[in-house]
Amino acid sequence: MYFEWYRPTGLLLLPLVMLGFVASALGQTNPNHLAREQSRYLSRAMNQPVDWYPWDADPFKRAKELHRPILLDVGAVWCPCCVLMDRNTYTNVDTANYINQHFVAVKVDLDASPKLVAQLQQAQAVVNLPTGLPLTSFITPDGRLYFGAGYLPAESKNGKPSFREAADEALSRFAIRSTVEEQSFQLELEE
Amino acid sequence: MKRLVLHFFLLSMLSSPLLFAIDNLKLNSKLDYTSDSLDGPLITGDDAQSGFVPGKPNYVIIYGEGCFNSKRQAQRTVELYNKYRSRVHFVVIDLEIQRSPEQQKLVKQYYKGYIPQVLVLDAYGEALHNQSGEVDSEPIENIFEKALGH
Repeated sequence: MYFEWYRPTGLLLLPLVMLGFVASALGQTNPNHLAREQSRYLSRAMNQPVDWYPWDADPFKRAKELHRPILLDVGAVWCPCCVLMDRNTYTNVDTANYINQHFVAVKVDLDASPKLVAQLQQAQAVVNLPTGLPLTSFITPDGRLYFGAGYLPAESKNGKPSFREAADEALSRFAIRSTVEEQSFQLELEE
Repeated sequence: MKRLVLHFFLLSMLSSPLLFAIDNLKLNSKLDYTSDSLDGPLITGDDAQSGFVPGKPNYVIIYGEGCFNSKRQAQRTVELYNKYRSRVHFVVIDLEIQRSPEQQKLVKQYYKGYIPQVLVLDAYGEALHNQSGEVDSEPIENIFEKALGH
């Protein structure tokens, strides 16, 4: 009797459980903070294992609370290197865990926020850092852009540092306040 | 002794990037002009990190490697260089690599976050043209001719 009642429910549950396994193997957990975003570049990253926030006051507040730097990714749907970084770096579960442990992650769509992105590109150029698209920036909780790069491959090649190497460097620099103050650009955080 | 000091001074002045502009400009032959692919530096040349050089008009391009508008402007830049190389100094600023202090002066003063950016500066460093986005060669040539007193 018990078995009879249980079987249909079990049959229904089985695909759900299997889906859960597949999702966790792919690193797709609950949607991050991009789930409600209209921009295609942001919404397509909502199931990435990185705990992405959109650009607003919340991630800066969280970064202050946790005393962590902000990792900022700027990209666009038409940018091939942005696709590469999404595919090879930000969907990698180990890398995502590392990011979620050490940074507050923010994603920005160039097409949705051109003025903001121009400010970020200018900031990075003024600090004499490589710029480009995608733009990878590291920002203090109070809005000082102090380190960054353009496209960062998953593994270092042709003299380009890997994402992990750049992120480690960003953490080291963040630990020394005087280095940050010496070479950084204060962003306007209104937007 | 005085002569030695003078020689040393002259030599160090001559080797300064302030006196030399980029020369032997060449376009990267592998550029794909239809996409934002990363094909490496768009323009190569000797003394590629030089900044503004006084005494002649300067043409400055600020570009990003993965930008097809920059690639197309790079093509026009090399054509202009081949035509005006003896009369105009050319400055090529690649935003994807670290830049010399001379180039950083121009970046801090003029770059507003959009690429490509084209500047024409007169012999004293005053901006005669400052525009983001692609620009045809003809208006630039007109500015060159005026600046050269023709």
